[in-house]
Formats: sequence, C-alpha cells, structure tokens
Amino acid sequence: MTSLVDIFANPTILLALKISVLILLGIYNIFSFVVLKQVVLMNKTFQTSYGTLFRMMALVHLVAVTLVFLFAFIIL
Amino acid sequence: MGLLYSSYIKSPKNVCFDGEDKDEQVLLVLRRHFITNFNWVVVSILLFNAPQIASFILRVNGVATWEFLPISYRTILFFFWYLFSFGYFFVSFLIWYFSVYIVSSKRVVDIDFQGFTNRRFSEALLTNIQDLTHTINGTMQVIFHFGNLFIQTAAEKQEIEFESIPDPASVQDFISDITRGVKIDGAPDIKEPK
Repeated sequence: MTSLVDIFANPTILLALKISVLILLGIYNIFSFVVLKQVVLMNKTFQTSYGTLFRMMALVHLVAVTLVFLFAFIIL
Repeated sequence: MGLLYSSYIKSPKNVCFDGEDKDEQVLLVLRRHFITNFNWVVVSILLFNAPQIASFILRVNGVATWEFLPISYRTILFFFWYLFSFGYFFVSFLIWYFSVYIVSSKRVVDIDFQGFTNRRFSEALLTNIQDLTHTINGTMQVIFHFGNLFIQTAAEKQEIEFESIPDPASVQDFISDITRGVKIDGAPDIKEPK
C-alpha cells in the first residue's frame, strides 16, 4: 500500500499517467463520434420507430465523453 | 416494443429499409437468435462489475482501497470506465439490432454490420430465388431451435445467407410460398408464417 502511494506521489509518474489518461480519453472521444455517425447510417439503412432513441443515446454518450475529457484536462 | 428485442417479427409496423419501393411491403424481419448475444451480454456484465471485482482482488492482496491513486484520477477513471462499459454494450446491441434479414413482397434483403464500421447490403428479387436450404447444426442450435437459411439465386451473387435465425424451417416455407406466388401470377402468395 505504502509503496503504491509512493509511486503515485512521484510527479514524473503522475505526468505520464495524466498524458496516458488524456490520450485514452481522446481516442475514446473519436470512437464515440464514430458511433454517432454509424448510428445515423444504421438508421438510414433500416428505419424503425427506435431510430431517434438510438441517435439520442449516441449523442448523449458523445457529449458525456467530451465533458469527461474536458474535465480531465482541467483537474488532472 | 417487440421490435427492440425480438428476432422474428411478422408484418412489422413503422419499418422500412434503404431502397424500399413505395408499393413494397415488409413481410418478415429476422435477426440472429437472441441467445447468440450471450457472449457480449456476459462481457458487458463483467465490465460493469469490473471495479468491484478489482477492489475485491486488491483487498485480498492487502490493499484496502483505491486510495493509492489521487482523487482526481479516481474520479476521471470512474467516469471513463462506466462510459466505456456503456459504449461496449450499446455498440454490441446496435450491431445485433441493425443486422437484419428482411423478407418483403418483392425481395429478400441481408443487412449485415460487421465489426461496427463495415456494412454489407445484399438483396435478391423473389423472382431470382432458385433454391432454399436450411441447416440446424450443433447442440445450441438444436436446444434453442435456430439455424441458417441459404438462399440460392439466379443473380450474379449466388447465395444469400440468413445466419442463426429462429425457426429456419418456417422461414424457408414462408419464402418458398411467396416466391411461388410471385413466379406464377406476379403477386406474393402471403400465408401467415408459423
């Protein structure tokens, strides 16, 4: 426990972790944008009454990921 | 509501597909049997519970909590993990939901989303259908009564495959009936499937 706390108290380790987390969130942000675009394409290919619901869910997902990315950029 | 989770939908309402004609009617919508979703459902449950499982493993190994990580990192990773788990669940569901096999009054359509970013759209006119074969292989398919239906066509693309559909025998019979009707008098001979 103590050794783990010491490791994460090291500023170099924290900087590396911060960059890793931001890259991870950035990649996931791009993925969530692709999900939204793909949902639009899927809805066009096969139209059902649930199309709007799926598009809204994909949009909310993208907005949430973007907010987490911005939040991480500020607080880390 | 049945459209959201069913794999076998007869005469669905409010459904149309890319390229559908105005005088065309969707008669049957099929998807892979729901049991084929077992793997991603289990993985999703594991993903949503992974933080608890990891905490348990840490506790067993003498680490009381996640406190070795600064609070800001814990907060971000907490949100990221649940968004990622939701993303995996959502994308897996969408691939299943939108990969459909459609039987209309004019054609059969196979819309296949492979790996989320790849789409394959195959269709064959009922008048081009030559032969129908279904197979039920393996223990799972016998227990849950699903299988594959192979549709041979006279077109350049020889075969359309409906994979892991529920009750393939009844679907084969249904397509066979409407194809015969179209070939004889130009109109599908629609009988209730099943």
